[in-house]
Formats: sequence, structure tokens, C-alpha cells
Amino acid sequence: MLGDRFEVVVVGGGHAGVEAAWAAAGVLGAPRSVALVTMNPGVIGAMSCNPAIGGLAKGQLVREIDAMGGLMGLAADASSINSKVLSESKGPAVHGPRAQCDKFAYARAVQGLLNARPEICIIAGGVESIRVEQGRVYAVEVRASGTSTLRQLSCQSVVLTTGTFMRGLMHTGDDRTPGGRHGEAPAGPIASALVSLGFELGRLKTGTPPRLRRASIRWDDLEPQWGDDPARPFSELSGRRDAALAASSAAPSLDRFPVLAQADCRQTRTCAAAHEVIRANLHRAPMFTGQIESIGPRYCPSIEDKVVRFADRTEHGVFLEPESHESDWIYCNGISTSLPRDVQDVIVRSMPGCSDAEIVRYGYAVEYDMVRPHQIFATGETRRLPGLFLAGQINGTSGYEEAAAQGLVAGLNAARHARGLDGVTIGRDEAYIGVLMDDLVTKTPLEPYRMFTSRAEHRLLLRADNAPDRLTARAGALGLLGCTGLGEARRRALSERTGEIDALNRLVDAARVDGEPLAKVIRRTEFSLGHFRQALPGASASRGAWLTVYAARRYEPLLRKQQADIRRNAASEHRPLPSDADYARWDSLRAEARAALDKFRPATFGQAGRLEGITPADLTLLSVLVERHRRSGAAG
Amino acid sequence: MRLGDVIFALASAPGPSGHAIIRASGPASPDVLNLIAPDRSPRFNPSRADIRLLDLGPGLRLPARVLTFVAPRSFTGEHAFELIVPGGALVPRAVLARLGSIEGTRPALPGEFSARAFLNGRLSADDAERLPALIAARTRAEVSAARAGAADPHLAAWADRLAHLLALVESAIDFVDQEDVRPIEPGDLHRALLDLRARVASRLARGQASRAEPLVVLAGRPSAGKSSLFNALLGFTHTHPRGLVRALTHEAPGTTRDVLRATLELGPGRSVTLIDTPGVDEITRDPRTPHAAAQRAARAAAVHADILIWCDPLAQAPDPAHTPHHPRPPSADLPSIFVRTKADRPGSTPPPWLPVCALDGRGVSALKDAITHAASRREPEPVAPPSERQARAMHAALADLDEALSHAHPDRPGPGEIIAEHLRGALRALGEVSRPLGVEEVLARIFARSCIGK
Repeated sequence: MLGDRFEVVVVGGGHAGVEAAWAAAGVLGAPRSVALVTMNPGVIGAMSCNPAIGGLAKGQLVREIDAMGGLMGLAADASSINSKVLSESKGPAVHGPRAQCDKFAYARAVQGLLNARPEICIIAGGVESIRVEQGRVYAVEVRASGTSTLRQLSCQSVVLTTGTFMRGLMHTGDDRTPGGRHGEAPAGPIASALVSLGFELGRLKTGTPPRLRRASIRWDDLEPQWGDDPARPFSELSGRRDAALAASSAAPSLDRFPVLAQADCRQTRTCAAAHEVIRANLHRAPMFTGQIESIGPRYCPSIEDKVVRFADRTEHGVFLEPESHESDWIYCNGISTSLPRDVQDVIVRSMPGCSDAEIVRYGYAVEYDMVRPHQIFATGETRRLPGLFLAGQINGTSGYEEAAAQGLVAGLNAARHARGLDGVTIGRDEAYIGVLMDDLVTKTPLEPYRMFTSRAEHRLLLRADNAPDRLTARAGALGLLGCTGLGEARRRALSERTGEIDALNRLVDAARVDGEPLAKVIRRTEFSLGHFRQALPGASASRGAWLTVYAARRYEPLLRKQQADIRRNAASEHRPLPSDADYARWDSLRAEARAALDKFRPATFGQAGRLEGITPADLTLLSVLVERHRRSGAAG
Repeated sequence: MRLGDVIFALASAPGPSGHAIIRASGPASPDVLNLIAPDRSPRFNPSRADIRLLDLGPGLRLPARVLTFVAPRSFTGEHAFELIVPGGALVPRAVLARLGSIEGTRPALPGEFSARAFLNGRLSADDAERLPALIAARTRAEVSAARAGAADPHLAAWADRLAHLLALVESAIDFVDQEDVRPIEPGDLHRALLDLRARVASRLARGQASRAEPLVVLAGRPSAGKSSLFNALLGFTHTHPRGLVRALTHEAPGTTRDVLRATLELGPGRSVTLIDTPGVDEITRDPRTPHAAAQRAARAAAVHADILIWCDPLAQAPDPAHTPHHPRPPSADLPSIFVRTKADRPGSTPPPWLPVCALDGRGVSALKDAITHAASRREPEPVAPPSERQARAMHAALADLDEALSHAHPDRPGPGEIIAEHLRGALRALGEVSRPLGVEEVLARIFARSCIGK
């Protein structure tokens, strides 16, 4: 039974699960130390909904995951068929790199990367139960797919990434099918296992639009949408001709970008007549009949939602996006729906260019269980059960990038837990990943959580361009870069980049434009990146270094102010709160403050200050009470 | 519980007294002291008393006794200092305001000095025992005071308005890929911010007035003779025996840059606050110039005017086409007095215009009668002055609004993310004294307005 002993077991092969396994493998570095359990290994890394990675705020997350040695950026670069930096005409802090990917190439890239790591062992099966002894996880019980054989995988830590599969239920009209994704069965026993361990579950809803057959669309009648030319990759590694890369069999295509031919999307729209049909059929819409009771996201409403909430609109834009070079399926971005099939036919066929369109897969909504996230730490570990970690939609988030970011954090910490090391968190001032984890443990989610740049108070600092400068060294210190060729190449890329940035900064300090210092002129509204490059004609650096110096100098006064603030209050922000305090009995706290502390049990004063119902004055009192608690504990 | 901040508070009893003591504590105390009391060879020595000159702003210097305490040998165990200044209402308030304007400082929270002393092991066991009850009591008092303050409808309305504007700016950043999201027009944003700024500034200015006297605002185009009239009404004419003037006057347009205020006595127990403003002309190209600041101040004064004195040497009523940027021209709901200034020059004075000459004093007493009449028709609206906390928050919000305005130019709008940064700052400041409006409230406004989700 030697093969059934692992250090970390990751349950789920979606975007959270693969990133968790990858991060844990990097930290552990020992062969067969990580098990990735999934019901169907063939669909590891599947893009269940929109075949695209990145976008506004999400692109920053992908860049951060890449800077920390993750695999999402590598897989997206290997499979991009339409790359575009959103908002590139705006300031560098809000650029959002995005790529539409070939969904089959994406999954293959993910699987190829995982297979190249001797640390990771992929096991086909579903989790039946989590074994606990003396308040700690020691194993998971897995039923091998297609059999009744139970197999026990012993381990120190478990990362659960159930996605939409935990008691997943799909809706199309009044049709209800148990499952987490079309054609795939739900995960049932795991939900009961969590309930019996005492976890409080919630239920959320998401949805996906119909897919069309390309040959049935009058493609050439519609307005095309191309990506950037030249297209730019997510990863710092893509396009590098590193010897180490050539040696790494996991990333055979990194020396060039784009790898795949770029493709165009087309734009169409819904029409007023279709909106009438939707209104006439609301009594058959699960969202409105009460068949679906759980909450979906406001930022990704179904077409029936849009028609009801914005009744004055006579059309809504729809983007037709190819899903792959290997299939003729087209994704209809903008008409996510769970209406009955005949209504979906009407909506689709009323769109310009689509009068003869064939729907190859109807849209559906899916409801699924989640674990209310006040039950985890910002490390991803559950408070109730040491060694059990949660990541992705199970924590109430939505989106591949949000899932991957949590997977990275949970995988890292699961591996550290297995080795007896303390958990690590990422600060709100370090990365969007930190903002995400902190929001999860300090806020009560009312809908699936998605990242927006508005959520980051340090938005000017947390840019896509400077992700390596913020995170790669830290990732290296945490062992996330491993000692593979990829890790070596990342270190080398960072050191080259740092050299270029330092050189450019020296030139900026010395240069003048029209008699004024360049460092001052660069802050003028109309002074573009192009002007900046012209102002230093002799300088040569990579595009990334130019952009980072341009951004840092443009935002300099605000960044300096923010960084002074961060430094001044770092000690208070990270000052720990005791894990054993019984807040409910700390009577001198106001009742509202007591209740908030008792529910969320924040790990630091910084987190406590972000809870609803806690005032700065409450924190003063809390600091005194905590110190007294500590002294009394020390005294006896 | 930001222990990195330098906290400060009035340590002596408020109210009339010979001296006031202001206490500050925190790691950066030496730097803060050197900013407020610059010294060529800055010293921060244990328990040392010095006389130093406090720099309270342009032209405002004041000697004070300074005591410095070096960590850990201070009352809090941190670097700390005390300033001993003349008592009364004005000086301590000016010193507190100056301290609060320094980066990294803030007023102490209830019991915070004691809490820091406790955390640094500087309290006796008995004192430490009583500390939680003390802080809890003060916190409750502050929370209820804050709740009462939050009931101030102006503050809540401004915070709400600001959240709305921020939502418009943020939606153009976060949802630019959505077809339904239209960015706010730069001109609209500029106007909205100017209006908000004017309201906050006027409330601050008004709150400092000792009584809720009617605000009488002199308005008109540049060089209409407003400042001369201001001087004449207050009894300072060019023929004054000692040559005293209140406002500097000159023929060149744009001479007046400051909003001047003075109490105009109209009779026993009856007075108004008279305000002289720069002429309102046009939106300047660079909003950071003193001229632009003067324009903003003029608009701020006009927004809250109770009585408007419209000045024009040719007796021409303000034409909206000529004063498109004037936020509040004379109208039915604003009692207005029309004055033909420079009445010594040839020309006719059709009713309802009053001829007034500031040089020889002609018509000044008739104008005073008109003001008295207008003021008597109007019951003064009771205005509670803002509390110290509210005033501080409004000053902070103003500073951020000014920064936002300097980027939100109507013709050449600056980067949205920088404008948003300052609007966030202003919203945080107002949120501290009304209802805190965070990311979720801003997002809710975006989702309510625009169909997001393609």
C-alpha cells in the first residue's frame, strides 16, 4: 500500500485543483507526494464556460499566478487563439490582458504540465469521505471511477476543489439533471461528509449560454473582432529562448508566441422581438418560477434577467467566439440562459447572421453547494479542521482565474502544513490574490465573488506589468518555483528584467524634456508610453520593462504616499489575534463588535478592522484585551 | 489600531484658559515635530523643554514651549512630545489642524494614549485593570456621537453623491468591455465635482461663523467693483482718515483672489455676514492655478448665499449666456439686490437697480437699507457648526476633491484611475463622519444602473 501514501491530496481537476497540485508539487519536490483525485482525468483543465482567460482585474490575477510559478499563464499562452490587452488606451494600472483559448489545447497544455511533474499522481475516482482523527485530517476515502472499490489515500493535508459539482443540479426549462457540467455526474457524498464535519454550506447558481455550429452561422455578414497584433503573452517565460526551457519537456512550445493561429470573433445582438418572446415565457424560466432559489451573480446575468431588469433595452450585444480550432463550436458570449430549448431557439435565430443557426448544446443554469467562506483562513485552511483546505467555487467565487489564485494559495499552504510549516498569506498590498483571500474571510458573500479592480485599494501598485517584481522573489523563497528548468528560467527572467528597470530609471533621472525633468513631464496626461520611449532614444529594454518604468514614474507621487502608509501600518496590519479567544465573553466590547469577531474569527488586526461592524475605536479596546489575554495566558 | 500613526489630542481641558497642552505620540514623532516646528538642527532629546517657533501655515508662526520624550521613557513608551501654547479657542484648534494635515498623523481614538501605554508596559497593574472599562465607555460615547453626526443630512447626501460619481468613474474602468457602460462625460464630471466641492467648502466656511447670520454675497463679473463696495459697506473707503482698506482693490480684472468675509452691522442686534468673491468668469485651462482656486471659492460662496448683491457698472442683469459657469445667478428663490456700481460715471440707473459709488459713498446707506429689508424677510436657517471630527473629515475630503478636480479637466480629462484614487480618498473621509460607503456600495450602484454581463 506504499502507493497510497501521499503528503497532499487534491480533490478536483479544475482550475483550482490543478494549480493547487502544481503549487504543492513545487514546494514538496518529492516524487509521488501529491495525489490529484478527479472523477474523469480526461477532462482535467476543462473550460466549462467561456473559453477565455484573463480580462479586467482577472488578467492581473493571471499575471500574478504566473509570477508565482503557477501554470495558468503557461497553459493560456500555449492555447491562445485571440489575445488582446483590454483598456490598453487607459492607464497601465487598469490594463487587462485577456486571451481566448482553444479549449482542447488549453486542457492538453494543463495535462501536459501536470504529467511532467513526478511529484503528481493522478487518480480517477470520487471522494466518499474525509477521515479525521484527533481533530486532524489523515486520509480521504476514494471510490475508483466506474467501480465500487474503496481506496484510502493517507495524507497530511487535503485540498477540496469541488467547483460546481457538489450536489450540482443543472436546469434547462423545467428539465433538471443532476451534474456539475453537461454530461458529468455530480459529487454527492462529499457534501454530506462536510455537513457531518460541522461545516455550514450555502448554495449558489451560475449559468452558461448555448453553443452554435459555426457552419450554420453567416459568419461573413457579421463584424469581425481581432486580437492585438502582435499578440502578447501572459507569462514572463513565453517567447524566451532559454536553455532551461529547451530542457523542460513540460513546456515544449514556450520559445514562441502565439503558438496557435489567431482567430477572429464576430459580433451580433439580440432583438426586441426575442425579448418579447422571453417575457412571454418567463413562467417557464427556472430563474423566475422558483425552481432555482439560489443566487447568481449580478455581473453575469442571464438573458432573461437582463430583459426583466433592463426592460427599456431593445437589444443586447452578443459575441460569437470560436471554442477551438479542432471543433466548429461557437460560444455565444452574452446570452447565458436556462430558458426552455424552444425559447433558446427563438433567441438565437433572431440574432443577425444566425437565422439558420444550429444549437449544438443548449444553455443551462447550474446550482451547487459551497462552504460559507467565513469558515476558512486566508491560507485556504478551514478553521474547523486543520489540514483541510478549500479553493475555488466551493468558497463562493466565480471564474477560472479566481479559482486558480485560491488553488495556488491552498496548494502552497497544504504542502507547508504537511511539512509542519506555518501557513502564509499574501497581503492586500502585495497582490490581487491577497485581496481575494482577504475579502473571502472578512465579507459575507451575497453572490458568486468575482474580482474587480475596484476591490483593490492599492490598484495603482497591483498592476499586470509589475507582477514579477512584486511576487517572483517571494515565490522563490517559498519554494514555489521548485528547482525545475521553469523555475530557473523565471529567476533568470526576473534578474534580467530588474537590470533593465534599474538602467531605465537611471536614464529617467538624468533626462530632461523641453528643459524640464523627464520624471516630471512623464506625469502629464498626454505623455504616452510612445513619448516616453522617444524621450530616451538610446535606451534598449524589453517591452515589459519600459511599461513598468513608465507606470511607476507616472503614478510616483500616489505610489509613494501609499507605500509610506503601508510601511507605517504593516505591524498593526499583520499583528496576530489569538486563535483561542472567546470573544463572546469579552463583555467590554460592543455587542456588534463581539458578534463580528465571533463569526469571522479574524487572524490579524488588519482583518478585524475590515469586518463590518468594527470601528477603529473597537480595535483600540481589542488590542488591550488581547494583550491582557496574552499576559494572563503567560502568567498561568 | 494603527500603531504606526502619530496620534495627537488636546491634553488640557478645552475652553478659556491661560495655556493649552497638545500631546502627540508615535514612532514618527521626531519627524512630525520637525515639520510643525522646523529647526535647523533638529533635536529630539529625553525630556527636554525648548521654546520653538510653530509653523501653522503661510504667515502664521507662533512660539510654543516644546517638551520631547524619547521612547521608551515617555507616557506611552513611544517617542512623544507636548506643545504648550496660548489657551483659548483659536490657537489650539489651529495647532490641531496643522498636526492633522501632516501625513501619517491622526487624532487619537478614545483611550488610545492609555492603550499604547499599556501595550508598551507603561501602565500600573491597577490602571491596566481599569483600562478596558474606560475605553469601552469612551468608545460608546464616540459611537453615539458619530451616529448623531451621521444624522447630518448634508454629510450623508454628499457621501452618497460622491459614491455615485465614483461608481461612474469606476464603471468606466472595470466594465469598459461592456457595451452598456457609457463613461461619464468629462464636462459633467467636472461640473459635478465643482458643485460638490463648493457645497462642502461653504458648509465648512459657514460652520465657522459664530452665528447663523444670513450670508450676503457680492457677485458679478470681474472688475465690477465688488471689492470696493465691500470696503465701502464696512466703512473703509479710499478717503478713510487712516487709509485703511479691508479688500485690496485695483482696476485690473482678477485682483480679488480670496473670498473675504466680514460681519456687517446693520443696527442693534442685526448683522449679516458679508462675503466678497472673485469675479466669476470662465473655467480656466489649468485648474491648479490660484486663479482657478479663486473661481472655485467664488462658486462655493454663491451656492450657499442667502442674499445676492449683483454688481454691474452698466446696470446689466446677468445673462446666463454671459455667465454660464455661475452656479447660482439671481433668481426668484434667491433674494437679490441689483447695484449699479461706479455710479459716479455717466449713465442711467433703471429700476430696480440702486446707484452706488464706493468712492464718494453715494448710495451706500440705501444699499444697507435694502440689505436690512432683504434680511428681515428671511428667517435665518439654524446651522449647527460642524464638530471637530466633521470639520477635519471635510477638510480631508476637500483636499482630495481638489486633487480630483485638477485631473478631471472638462476638455483634457486625466487618467480615470487617478481621479478614482482621489474620489476614493474623499469618500473615505466623508464616510468616517457619516455612513461608510465601501466597494460593495459602489459596485451596487454600478450594477443597478448598467446592464453588466456580456
